[in-house]
Amino acid sequence: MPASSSLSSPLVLSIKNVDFRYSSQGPLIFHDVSAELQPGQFIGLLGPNGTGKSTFLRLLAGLRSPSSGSVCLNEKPLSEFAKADLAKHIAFVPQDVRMWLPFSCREVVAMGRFAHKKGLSLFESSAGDQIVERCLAETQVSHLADRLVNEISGGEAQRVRIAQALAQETQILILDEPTSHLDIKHQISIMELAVRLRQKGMTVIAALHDLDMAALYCDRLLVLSEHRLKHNGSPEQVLSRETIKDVFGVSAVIGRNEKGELRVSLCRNDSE
Amino acid sequence: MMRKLSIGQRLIIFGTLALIALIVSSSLGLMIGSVEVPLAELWNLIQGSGPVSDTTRTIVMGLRGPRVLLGMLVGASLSLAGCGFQGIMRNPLADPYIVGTSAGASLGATLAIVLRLPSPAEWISPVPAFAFLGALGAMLIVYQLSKVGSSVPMETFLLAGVVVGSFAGAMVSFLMTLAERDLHSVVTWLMGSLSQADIHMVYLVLPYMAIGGIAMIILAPALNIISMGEESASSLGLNVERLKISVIAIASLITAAAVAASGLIGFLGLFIPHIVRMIVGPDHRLLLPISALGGAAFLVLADLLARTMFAPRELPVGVLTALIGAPFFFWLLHGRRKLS
Repeated sequence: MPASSSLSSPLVLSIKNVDFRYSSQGPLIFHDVSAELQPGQFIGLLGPNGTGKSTFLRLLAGLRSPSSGSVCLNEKPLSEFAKADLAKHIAFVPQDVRMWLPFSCREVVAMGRFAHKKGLSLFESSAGDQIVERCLAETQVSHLADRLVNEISGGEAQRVRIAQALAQETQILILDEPTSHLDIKHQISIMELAVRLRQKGMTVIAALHDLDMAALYCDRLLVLSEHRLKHNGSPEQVLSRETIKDVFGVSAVIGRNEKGELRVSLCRNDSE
Repeated sequence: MMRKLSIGQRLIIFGTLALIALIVSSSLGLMIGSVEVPLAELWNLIQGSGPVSDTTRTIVMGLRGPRVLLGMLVGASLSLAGCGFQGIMRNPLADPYIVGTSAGASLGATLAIVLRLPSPAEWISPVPAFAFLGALGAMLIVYQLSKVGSSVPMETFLLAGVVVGSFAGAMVSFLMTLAERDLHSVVTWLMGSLSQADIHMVYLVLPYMAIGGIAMIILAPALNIISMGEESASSLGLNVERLKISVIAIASLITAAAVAASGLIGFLGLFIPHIVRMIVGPDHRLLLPISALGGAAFLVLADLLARTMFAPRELPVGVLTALIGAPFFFWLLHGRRKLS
């Protein structure tokens, strides 16, 4: 009872002094990483390839356990949650959304209700069915509901999987590179969806590659580099010419567009 | 068009069709043989009123009835186990014997035949008893070998199954070369047959099949979830390791019971789930019950062919299922290659 009542309030996901290795003898992936994810924000996770963005997100989702330190939801370590309880608080969408069985998109989204099912029931409740339809509409895939997931495009499959995560009705949504493989229009539609969800009070954290996109949409940016969380702040604080040069080794110009929005424009390395 | 129907509606439609197939095949199984039983007389017997000759009564109740019932149970068990293993491994090539239960059962049965082992209990004859123990023993060894900490990675599990299966298979061959006089009994057992069926055997297998079958169908929603991949399934709230262990235990138990009753009946557990998946789709809430009914109908029909095609000689039904199953298997592999 105390646990559930403390979790009905806004959820703070925190990561405290975390070290991570894949095996006890393996190389150190993260060292002494700490951060607190405040509710109602769209947080972008940046960093060059191989800095462990996906691993970081899996630690936050409770899919991997830290080697030392802790990942907590309102001060309670994720390892102390039952799987089904955690799935009601944190949803995770992986980068690879392919499936081996040809379920319909509606059936895939309905799987998001798994943790909410009571007892041994084989069938979905009608309230659950309504949530599924609402989530299909939210990610604009209602028209695909009866299509099979292996017959739709990568961008559509991505949105179906986000709809599945929304059907979990969690406060926290974790997206691993949701915009990879998508054309620019679909990238923007995913980013705008994240902003809409944040406005509803959800915490959305996404691994991103496009700095300009991150500048445009995120409330906060985390930057992983050299086994550490190098930067943690607003896009204005994090995205400086020096930081981008230091972390990614590329030259960029930081400016604002005519609407006053922060923009990152890359420069050719040989133009300096 | 079917996709738009609810799962309950599809369950009713496909369930009715599969039930009709099962009723037709088991009626044929009861009617056809060296002595034909007319449909009218069979109906009278089932109804419990109207004239029935003593011959018919003996044939149906004493001979064909138990054989048809055992065929249903074994066909349903192997199909359910196949669905379960394919589900947790997310591999369409998994079959009920993949964990080495077949080789373990063969070794148990061969030992019982060659060494003339006494039965461990008076209510069961030695060969099925040791086949059952061998199957469970093999499964437990495979499970222990593939356990890494508290999890069972499916790749390791598959490899351990192959290793234990090869070892037990080699032991069977070794025993067979030593004991030439028993060669015929061993080979007959290995090929799988329902000819030893009696009502006693049906009662022995029934509890495993009933409890295992119901447990497996209860796990259907979880098997749907794990098709998303273990990591996604976990983030959707599924206790992945617990599901894998449950399915391995249930599928191995019902396979062991089936193998003990009928020897090795191959391919059925591989291709029934496939055909059914093509017809009803991937949802395990449909796939499991319809596969059980379909597998039951198929084995009863295959057994009917096995005992009538070359009458009075009987083919081992395992030979027949493999004769039909193997070409299907090749076709499946071919289709997959074309896809990739």
